[in-house]
Amino acid sequence: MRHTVFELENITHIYPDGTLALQDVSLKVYEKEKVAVLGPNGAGKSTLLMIMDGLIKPTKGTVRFLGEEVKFNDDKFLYEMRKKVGLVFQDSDAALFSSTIWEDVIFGPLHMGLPKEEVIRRGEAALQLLGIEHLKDKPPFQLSEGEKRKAVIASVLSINPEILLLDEPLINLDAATQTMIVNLLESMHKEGKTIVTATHDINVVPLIADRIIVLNKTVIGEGSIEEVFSNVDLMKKANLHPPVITELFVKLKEYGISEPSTKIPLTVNEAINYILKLLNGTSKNVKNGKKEQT
Amino acid sequence: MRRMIEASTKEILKIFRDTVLCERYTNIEGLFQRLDPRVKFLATIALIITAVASGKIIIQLAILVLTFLLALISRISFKFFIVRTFLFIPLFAVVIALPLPFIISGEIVASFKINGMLIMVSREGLWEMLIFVLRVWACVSLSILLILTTKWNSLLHGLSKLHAPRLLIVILNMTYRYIYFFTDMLYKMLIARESRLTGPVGTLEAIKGGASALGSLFIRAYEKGEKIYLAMKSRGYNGEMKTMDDLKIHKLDIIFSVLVGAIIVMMLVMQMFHEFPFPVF
Ligand SMILES: Nc1ncnc2c1ncn2[C@@H]1O[C@H](COP(=O)(O)OP(=O)(O)OP(=O)(O)O)[C@@H](O)[C@H]1O
Ligand SMILES: [Mg+2]
Repeated sequence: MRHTVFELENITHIYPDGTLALQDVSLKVYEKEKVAVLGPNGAGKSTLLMIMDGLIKPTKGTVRFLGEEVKFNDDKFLYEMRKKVGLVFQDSDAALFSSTIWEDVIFGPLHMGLPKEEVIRRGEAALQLLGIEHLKDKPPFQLSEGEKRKAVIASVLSINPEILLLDEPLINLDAATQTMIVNLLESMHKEGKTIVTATHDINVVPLIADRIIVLNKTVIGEGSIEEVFSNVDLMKKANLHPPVITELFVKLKEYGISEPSTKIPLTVNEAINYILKLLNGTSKNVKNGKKEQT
Repeated sequence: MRRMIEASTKEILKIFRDTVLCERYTNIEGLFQRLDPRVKFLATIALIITAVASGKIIIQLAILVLTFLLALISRISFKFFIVRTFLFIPLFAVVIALPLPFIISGEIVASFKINGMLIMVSREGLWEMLIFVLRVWACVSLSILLILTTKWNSLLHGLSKLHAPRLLIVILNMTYRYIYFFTDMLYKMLIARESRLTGPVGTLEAIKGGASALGSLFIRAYEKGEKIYLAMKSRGYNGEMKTMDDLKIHKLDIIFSVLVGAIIVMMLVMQMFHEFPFPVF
């Protein structure tokens, strides 16, 4: 059994104005996994991530971090925790609060009390990783939305957290940049980082997660991507449509076109395999767009 | 008229955002930029106290001249500085001080009748008004000089090194971010409004629309402020602002402090012993 990083028990959160954001949420995040929190707008995803980062004290329930109960009033505990947990805020404007991008990127390392050279090294590495060295001296409001997104991610990666909480990381990014970020996250995952992504975009999920938690105020479903996407009732309940590719093959099945030995495809590569099987019964495994004989 | 007000509001916001909030003048090689933030802060406070405490116009004037000289060697555009310090804020001081010549009694220099009511202007009142305006002007220029030449973060860093209460620093910090967002959002809102305006709008409607937009803007800026605070906490902020520059007192800081100290002492001495030809000086 893998260790749990986060363990939430019966978390309920009501905002001061009376809005119920989360109700009785219980879930676990395991060490070194890639998990997506999927839910429609207003499902409570951002609230959930902020609770996991110790920023909001839930109205009810307990959070355990690495087996220890999170004490929301104990600042020392929270500072130590936040050295290990990095949260990419959904709202880029709030996350870029310094007068230049550079100051934002070094804010984390600086406040961790790292030596000056290390702070600079990490800041530069983070900028380079995201390919935004040229934006270093710009004030945040002069950046495009996509550039801001990259700057926010850089300002969290410079902390080098073991656990990454990402709130809609790919929003406002063009296709090439999305792929770049996905690859970046994948390599960080391979290095052993735990990655939790909150998103409403179902097409993003297969790229950044192995497991899904479906949230709509409360956890309404959980499982592997296949399990969740093929569960029509669950998807409806969550106000979500399956990815276009999956939908296409579900429709085709209704017309009698299907390949019973293989699961319904979720990504383009899986779809190619599926079609190849349909066409000639042979199974050629397609990975990353390149043909491989099996 | 309304169009003019709108256009100038936008222009002022833009200048404010691009110079003060972008800390444009902090990266220029000038005198004030090279001083330690603690020295700058203390010198500014000392000069402000002198200006406020003194009742002599010559001292207010001297401090003003000193401030403008300092701004000049800190390579702040003279026109920019004059406009910033004079046009906006002392104007408001004049409004407050305007009734003084009529209220304070003394030697009458002018009198006129309005609706049968005799209104008298006293010499003492006029001087009081002048002193008040100069005082405000001096204080405002000094503060603006400090803010223009110091990165907000280093100022806060300096303050915490001076053992200012942590709560005060958190509040100052949040206020600054709040103003930043408020300005930015207001500016964007004005542009967005402009893009939706397809025809002439009555002045009353414009005021009504503006007021409700401003209201929602306050709330949004407040919420943003809260989120910013969370974002800062999430990246390790615990109320103490840290910056890359480790604060060190250099020779320049010492020379500057001694100079400012000497000037202040000189002013005090002048105030105490020197008899000026005019009673009000
Ligand atoms: N500061 C707040 N005060 C009051 N209500 C809030 C606040 N923040 C969020 N809410 C409400 O709580 C609910 C959950 O909000 P949350 O931001 O967590 O949703 P989300 O799943 O992240 O949505 P989205 O996909 O739009 O980002 C929403 O109904 C929202 O209106
Ligand atoms: Mg959200």
